[in-house]
Amino acid sequence: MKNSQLRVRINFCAILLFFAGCVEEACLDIPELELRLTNIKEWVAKDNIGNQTIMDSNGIQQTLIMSGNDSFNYDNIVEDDCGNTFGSYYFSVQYNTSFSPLHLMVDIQGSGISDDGYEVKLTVTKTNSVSVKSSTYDFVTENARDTNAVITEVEGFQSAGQVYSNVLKFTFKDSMVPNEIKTVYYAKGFGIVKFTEQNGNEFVLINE
Amino acid sequence: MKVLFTFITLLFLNSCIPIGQETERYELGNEERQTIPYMAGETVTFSHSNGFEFDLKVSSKGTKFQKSEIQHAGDDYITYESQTTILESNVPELSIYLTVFPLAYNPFMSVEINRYFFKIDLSVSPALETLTIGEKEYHNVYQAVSMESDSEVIRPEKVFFSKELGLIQIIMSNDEKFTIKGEN
Repeated sequence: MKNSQLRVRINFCAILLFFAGCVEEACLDIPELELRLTNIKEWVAKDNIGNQTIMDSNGIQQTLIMSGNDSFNYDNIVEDDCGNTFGSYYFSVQYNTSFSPLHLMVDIQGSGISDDGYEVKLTVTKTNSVSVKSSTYDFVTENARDTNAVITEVEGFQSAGQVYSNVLKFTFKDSMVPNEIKTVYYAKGFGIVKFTEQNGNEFVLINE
Repeated sequence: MKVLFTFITLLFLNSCIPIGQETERYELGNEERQTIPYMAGETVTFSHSNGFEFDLKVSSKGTKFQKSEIQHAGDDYITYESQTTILESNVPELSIYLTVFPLAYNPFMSVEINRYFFKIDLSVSPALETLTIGEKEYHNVYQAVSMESDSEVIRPEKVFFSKELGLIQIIMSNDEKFTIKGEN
């Protein structure tokens, strides 16, 4: 390439970059973000929920141990050119089963930064193996952010005589391992209320 | 040249690390090897107190030699043999590790049920001459109680074991029981 041609191309790129920098970003829609933040906080498990008893399809009981139940607020994470600022919210809770080798973690996040958005992330770990899987639900698109699971919102979900107004159902891909977790049900305000294994064995809360 | 110098230095330093000596060696005797009566590949049927039956499979049984722990490099050590038998089931998801050591080295048999530990002292007579479960009687039964103190969670609390039958019963802290089949 000739020197003159190279100079023309560099100038062209520089002009493009200059104009791209001049594109005005839309202002943050604060009322919309506030509404989403309020909605996502309703999904957080209530403070008075602690260890609960679960029972499998064969009537065998164990404790669903809840720990690390905590939330954080951060102010002014994002700022626009209109003088608006918005923060972010983060909630995390962990579960262990007292007998089965299982650990579940739920992270709920709300943020004005579009890449973070409003989401629930579920991570499932079989503690007797190296099996770890996770999937994230995006409240804005109402879909999973990945292909690890199909996530659907279920209204009026019934389990063990209890009705939950809104539940997120995580259905992971099929596995060859019979004890792998297949589905997890996370209820708004209650946390995990049910999960099933690949072999069909179901675990439900029995002390709501 | 520098590489050669570094290599020689490392070789020299390595030769300075003291090596401990084996002071004692404990091997399992024939009787000790028969403490756990299961054979690899065997299945044992258990039933839960509400009637659900399931198979525990003996997924492995083997012995190995280990060295005792030492505090510093060069400390002398003891070598001992141990025999571990693993029983597993899918529903419920159980992993049970039964380990025996030479009595003269460690008289406590270790029972690990899904990360909950029990110890059975084999140097003393079984705790129960006769254990009656339902209409069935078991003889010379060892009993172990959990070392866990958390009363808030449902977990294995007590184990009954005999050298004749192996695990006889696991009692959970909510009083549910897993019992060798036909003995509920």
